[in-house]
Amino acid sequence: MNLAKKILIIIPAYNEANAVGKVINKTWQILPFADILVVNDGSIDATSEISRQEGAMVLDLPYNLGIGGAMQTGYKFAYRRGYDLAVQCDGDGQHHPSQIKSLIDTLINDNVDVVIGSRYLGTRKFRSSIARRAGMFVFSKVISLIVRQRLTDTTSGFRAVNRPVIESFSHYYPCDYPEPEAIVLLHREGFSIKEIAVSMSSRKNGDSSITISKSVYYMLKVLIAIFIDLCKEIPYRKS
Amino acid sequence: MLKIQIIIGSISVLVLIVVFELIRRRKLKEEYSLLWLLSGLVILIISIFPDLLNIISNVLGMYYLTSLFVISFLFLLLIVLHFSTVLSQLSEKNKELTQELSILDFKLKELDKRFHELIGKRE
Repeated sequence: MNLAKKILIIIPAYNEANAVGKVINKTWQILPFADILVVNDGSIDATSEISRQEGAMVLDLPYNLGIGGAMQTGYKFAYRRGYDLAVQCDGDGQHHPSQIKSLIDTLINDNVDVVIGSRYLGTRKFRSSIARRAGMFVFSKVISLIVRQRLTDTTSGFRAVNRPVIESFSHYYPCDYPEPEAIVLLHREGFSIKEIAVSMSSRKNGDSSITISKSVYYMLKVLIAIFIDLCKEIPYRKS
Repeated sequence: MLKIQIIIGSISVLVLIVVFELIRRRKLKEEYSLLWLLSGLVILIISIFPDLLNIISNVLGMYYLTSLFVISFLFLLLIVLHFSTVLSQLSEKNKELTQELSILDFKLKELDKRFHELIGKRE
């Protein structure tokens, strides 16, 4: 692990008062040399106060911007404060801080621009509904075709990126379905992507109980968004 | 024919006057009024020179009034599309302002903290 690098862990949080403190605490234990930034996306609970108590830096958005807008705020912050690496990690406890290290190590050792933690790669099993898995399967096939590289978990929000990507994201970051859209964007901008296997907990709140019709609808929306993205001008190019 | 010309003509004059008045009172920016003025003018011209519309009606194979409606509808469509782009720009700018606000707020709190630490040391 390279200690000379300035590392920022970005945790977007919307009403995560119950989970975010634990996430921050665990991250501190594992990465005492990293800075932690919680982007409080207009929460109405104690997310902001708890994050501050745990010693994280907190950006308070005055209203709910959505995950894309909140993540970009974190990247803007990282860019302006001169961070070399940024890791995005959910505030709901779904991602395990213990695996941030392997994301960062892969980013540095394999000399890639983006490392994505995948639930579906390797032997680790992640339990989710059939509808969800079918949706993910189609996504990963379509996106793998577009980026000409095998990707298994395109909706994973557990990622590490280097400085040029931080810069790109601070200029433009997709808003509607940021995780899969960002992959296509990064590919078009000329960045290299690598997936590594991670384990994730299923969400504690019953949010992920997606029915088949809902998941098909979601899939269609994201696919359309991706195809529209493909027609857009490329906002930034890796220099 | 004359009756309809007068009605349509007065409507377009009314639209032009209202738009002009809104601009004069600074309730409407010129940027957003151009399409309104243009549509008002075109319809006014059509009501003064009905032959123009007759040509269009013949080409489209429609009656006078129908083609007038079609033209008005097209203008409304343009205006609404214009508004959608304006709305998109506004929401993008709004997002950026919100992001900047949160970063500035962070800096302010940081400075405030340091300031109080300094004051505390002095006393």
